[in-house]
Amino acid sequence: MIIGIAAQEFKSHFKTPMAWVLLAVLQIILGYIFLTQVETFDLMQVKLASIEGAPGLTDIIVTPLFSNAAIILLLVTPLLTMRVICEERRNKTLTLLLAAPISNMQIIIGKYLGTLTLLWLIVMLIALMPLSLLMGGELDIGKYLANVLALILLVAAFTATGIFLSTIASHPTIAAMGTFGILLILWLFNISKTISDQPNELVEYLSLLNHYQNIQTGLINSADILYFFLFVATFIVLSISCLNKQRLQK
Amino acid sequence: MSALIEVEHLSRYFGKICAVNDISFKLSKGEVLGFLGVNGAGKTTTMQMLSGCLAPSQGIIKINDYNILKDPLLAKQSLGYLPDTPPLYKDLTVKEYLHYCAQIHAIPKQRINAALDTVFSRCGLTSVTNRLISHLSKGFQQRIGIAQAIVHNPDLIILDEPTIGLDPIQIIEIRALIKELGKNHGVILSTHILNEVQETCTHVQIIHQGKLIVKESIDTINKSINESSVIFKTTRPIDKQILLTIPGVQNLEVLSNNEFKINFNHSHDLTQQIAEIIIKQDWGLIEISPVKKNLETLFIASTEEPA
Amino acid sequence: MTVMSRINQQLHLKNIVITTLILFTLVNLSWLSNKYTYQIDISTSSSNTLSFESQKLLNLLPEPIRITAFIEKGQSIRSQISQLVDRFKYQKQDISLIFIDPQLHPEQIKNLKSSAKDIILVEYQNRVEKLNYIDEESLSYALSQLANMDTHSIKTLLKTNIGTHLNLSEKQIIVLNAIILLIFPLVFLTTGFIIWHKRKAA
Repeated sequence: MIIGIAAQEFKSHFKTPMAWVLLAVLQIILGYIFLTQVETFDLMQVKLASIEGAPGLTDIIVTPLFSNAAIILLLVTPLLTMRVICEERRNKTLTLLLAAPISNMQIIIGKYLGTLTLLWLIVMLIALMPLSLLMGGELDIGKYLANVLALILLVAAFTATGIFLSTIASHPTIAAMGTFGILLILWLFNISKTISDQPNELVEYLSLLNHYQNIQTGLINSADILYFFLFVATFIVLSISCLNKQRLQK
Repeated sequence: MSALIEVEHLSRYFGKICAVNDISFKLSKGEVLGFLGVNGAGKTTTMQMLSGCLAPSQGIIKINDYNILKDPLLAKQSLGYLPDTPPLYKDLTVKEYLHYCAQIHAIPKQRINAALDTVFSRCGLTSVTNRLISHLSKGFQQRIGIAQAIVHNPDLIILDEPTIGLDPIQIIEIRALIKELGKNHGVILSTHILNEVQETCTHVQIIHQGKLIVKESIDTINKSINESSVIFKTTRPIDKQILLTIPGVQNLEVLSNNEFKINFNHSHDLTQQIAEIIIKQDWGLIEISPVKKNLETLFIASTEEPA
Repeated sequence: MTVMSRINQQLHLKNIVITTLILFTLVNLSWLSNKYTYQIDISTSSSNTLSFESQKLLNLLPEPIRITAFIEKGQSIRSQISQLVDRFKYQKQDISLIFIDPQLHPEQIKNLKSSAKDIILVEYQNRVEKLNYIDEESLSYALSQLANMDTHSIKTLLKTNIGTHLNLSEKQIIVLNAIILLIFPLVFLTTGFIIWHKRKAA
């Protein structure tokens, strides 16, 4: 049942030109960033070769690519998630799901997975690019995989936030702005690390960027991984609770 | 056989406003229940509660013996619902959309195609299966809405104003479809068109300001409203006293010179008796006819504010 | 019709209680996840793991270590340093790190009598080592000196990095450019257009 809803949600993105245009635009932007980075490395490599313990291909090309991708997906995710529940409620098509023998949990998780699959597809596209470097160089595969894992977890967190906002907002635009706002705040929490002398532990824990960067280094800490799982769980639970509430009160 | 749907003391408040007030009824297989009411009487709210889209403030709804609040998934398995706005994904084709509907109603994969074929022919959608829903007319969209409610062959079908916005020919088609559905399913139908109830329903309920004020089978209603008075014309003057002595006759009104109206108790049909007396008295009977009061009269009478 | 007996309000309450309970559990889990951590370095070059020599060194230092970094606020080097210290902390818990903004506390800088912009003080057993730059090697070296240990093994500590060369011919780069910037986007756009056009006609 969940898979059915997810598949429908995923397919519906591709029935309009929007997802395709988005894929093309993302590919051009991130491709450009990637290629610029390759060029930079190409110019630097003579100098780098003389330094012992200097950063390699992975540090100079892959990590910045994934850092930039994270910021771009922070902008894109709200656009993809804003319509998920919100638009259905406005078009009154949500009734179809509410009157069917499906629980609110199945609706939310199904919709969540549907949109998440699209974002994961985008992550895979991004992950493909550095592999082309294997033609002429060597990658730190462990670190590369850590970067991919970091981005996979990050978009999962982004999407969960987006779904939650889409459930509570009355209009898709509000949902998009809200998602963007929350994500940006959580992203920027990281600043406290560099600004204050004694960083607030709670703020530091909440920062998305902190955990993202930690995983990116290739050092996989259970706390960082669990942070993303708990993050997703929190917003999914809140969304389900909101949908329940709407059925009760209206 | 237990009732398909059992509703007990159902109420719904929106804040302090009471939209539905203490409604109880039952419906069995093979019955078509018409829910009549003016706009804002609480029809749609009731339908939403029956379909599980809105939780009641009070009362119990049981579908096939499953409480819709306690076992919503089991209860909803035997339910098809067409809300007042058909829930259509307009950028899908008819087939894609109904395929999805079949899927979320847990029809096994291998039976989906058969179910779709049945529903296409039933709702007259065979010619448009590959068209985009947004490109179809309102009539077709309404039919897709109904198709969506019956694709999983539910025991209970709830239709909220199914003929709204259709042209007369489409209305006739849809009514025929509802009648046919009523043979093997239980159907609940809300409408403010009285004709529709008289034509398609086996039972009628009139809801007004959230309360259920009339609850009858259509036969009883037809009887009571058709035969409570009679109008006749004569060529010669009549003797009112003779007619008033017939047991059951309540009063006699003079409509014009030679035209009279007799009202009598609902329980007896006196038309024949009156006709016989007039002929026997040789008053020169020109015409006699039972007054065809329709549902409208009943509706207006029962929804009128008590002065 | 008392307010108390309304079913939807009871369900509403139930919903709130369940949600609160779950969220409470999640908060507790997050606390636990920070208390009991497990980490693994999956980078092929093991760039996040302290070298064997550093680990051995830390195990030989029983007393707490204090690190004070005089670095301006808002510098990205601050987070780099804390990441590095975190790696040491994973091996030895009682290492503390404090940042001080030199502009806000100029008097402390004067006492240090140093001209360098960034100063990092490493304290062990009341002895202090002054550093201008910090990485695994320099920190380990400083620590071994503070502990009066043989510094020989630390000096030779060097990591091999993976992928320091990229040999792409000009032709290969052009092809790569074309695939990433032209072919992929064009495929997406045409597919999208074809699907859209087909559906529009339906």
